[in-house]
Amino acid sequence: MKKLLVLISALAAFSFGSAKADVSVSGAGSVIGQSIGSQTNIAVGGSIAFGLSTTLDNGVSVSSSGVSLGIGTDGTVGTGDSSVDDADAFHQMTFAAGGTSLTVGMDLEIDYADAGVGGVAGDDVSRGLGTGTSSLTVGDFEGAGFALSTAMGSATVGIGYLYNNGSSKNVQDMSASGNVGASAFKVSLPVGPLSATVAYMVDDSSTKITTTGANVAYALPSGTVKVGYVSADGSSDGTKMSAAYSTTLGDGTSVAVGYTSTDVDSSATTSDLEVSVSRSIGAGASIFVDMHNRNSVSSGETSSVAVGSSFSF
Amino acid sequence: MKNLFTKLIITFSFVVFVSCNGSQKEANLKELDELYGYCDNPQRNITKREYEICKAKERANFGEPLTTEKLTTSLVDLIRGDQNATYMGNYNPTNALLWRASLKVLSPFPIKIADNNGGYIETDWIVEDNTNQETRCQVKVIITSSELVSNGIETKINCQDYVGQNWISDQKNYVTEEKNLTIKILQSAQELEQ
Repeated sequence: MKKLLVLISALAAFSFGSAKADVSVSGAGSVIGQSIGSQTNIAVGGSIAFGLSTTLDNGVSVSSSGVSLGIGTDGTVGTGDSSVDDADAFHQMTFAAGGTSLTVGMDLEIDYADAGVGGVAGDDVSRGLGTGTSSLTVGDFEGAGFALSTAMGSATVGIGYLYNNGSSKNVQDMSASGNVGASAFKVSLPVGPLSATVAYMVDDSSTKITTTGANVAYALPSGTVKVGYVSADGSSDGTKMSAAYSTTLGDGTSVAVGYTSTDVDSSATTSDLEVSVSRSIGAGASIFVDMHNRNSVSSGETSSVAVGSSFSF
Repeated sequence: MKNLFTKLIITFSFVVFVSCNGSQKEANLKELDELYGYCDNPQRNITKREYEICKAKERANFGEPLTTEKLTTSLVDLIRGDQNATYMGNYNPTNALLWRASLKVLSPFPIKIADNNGGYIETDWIVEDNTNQETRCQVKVIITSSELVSNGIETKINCQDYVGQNWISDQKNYVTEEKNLTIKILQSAQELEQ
């Protein structure tokens, strides 16, 4: 009798693991109208992205970012984004098991320390704005390398290493003498009622840009407040402080306000104020209004407004 | 220095690969999603195109937090059709994932009744082995919901003893075994959903 019950209840311990492969798809399209200075710009674009994944019998999941097709809406007026296909397709592969993932890729981004929180509006509304007198350079941390992500208790840790920063060729010699490396580290953990993220990145280029970033997020009853700080040492030294507040109204409308103050060397401080209001209209569609105001620019426009609609699936 | 860092990465990867903190990491990521939003979660690594799609989905999500399940659509599921509910004839919904999971879990045993309309599965009498045929048990599964919820399934185990020349109920409750069976069906349904 006992053996019979053990036989039935043993189903609870029986492993039903089996290899399972899947192709996932997602996409979005948008049309945006921007008013900046004397220009009224119209941009149309969208993209579709495929992902590949499978789960091995031993529980390890393997995934790869597949091909994506699309045209961005944040291109320069008169030229736009002409890259329809994704030249970086299949450039990354991720192995995950037990909460730890390891990504091997040729277009990995490890700009972990770019921790500003003030950029709440889309890139389209910033098109054509004048360059700030203080513009912080944190370096370009995208290339061939590895990225590791895992949890240590309530903390989530990420480590990235590029053996060849700036190159996305899918076949490379890791030990080539001309390679320029870069390293980055980030950790997020709860600190009382807050969540804090601290990150550090450095490259091995001749200018050796070192960037430290941190941000904190706090959930209020009415919304979320975030504060960020970035410090970069390289060809120019500077800091960027930012803050943002986001909330959702009862009718599905979301509002976000962001502020960024950038101070580089002895240049005048540049301040950016961004506002984004969006509302879902059902069936994966939404409408939105973005505003971006920048003071202390070298030349060019200081404010821009964009209105747009997007749909997604 | 490069080689040392590479070796450290590989060694560290091997060590943490054997750790079992999958659920903890997912919990951490979800907490960060609620604060930063899925697209801007500092611990999620997504490409620029994926980020643009993510932001479009976030705007269209009625202000609700975006979850991993809402980000992409499985082509396999699209081809098979909606797997989250079945409707047979008159409105009588039975969650398809719980149904398939129940059949899968009970597959080692002979099935006597499998009624999709009523969401009811009953095994035939299960005898231990040829050496002990004086005891037999039966498993019943009832799916009570059209959605994949933890209380959407009920299990019952009945056992009988052969006394004299009759099979008589042993009058016992098998709460633990029924609970384990329910948990396993729910786990299997979640695996099927993924």
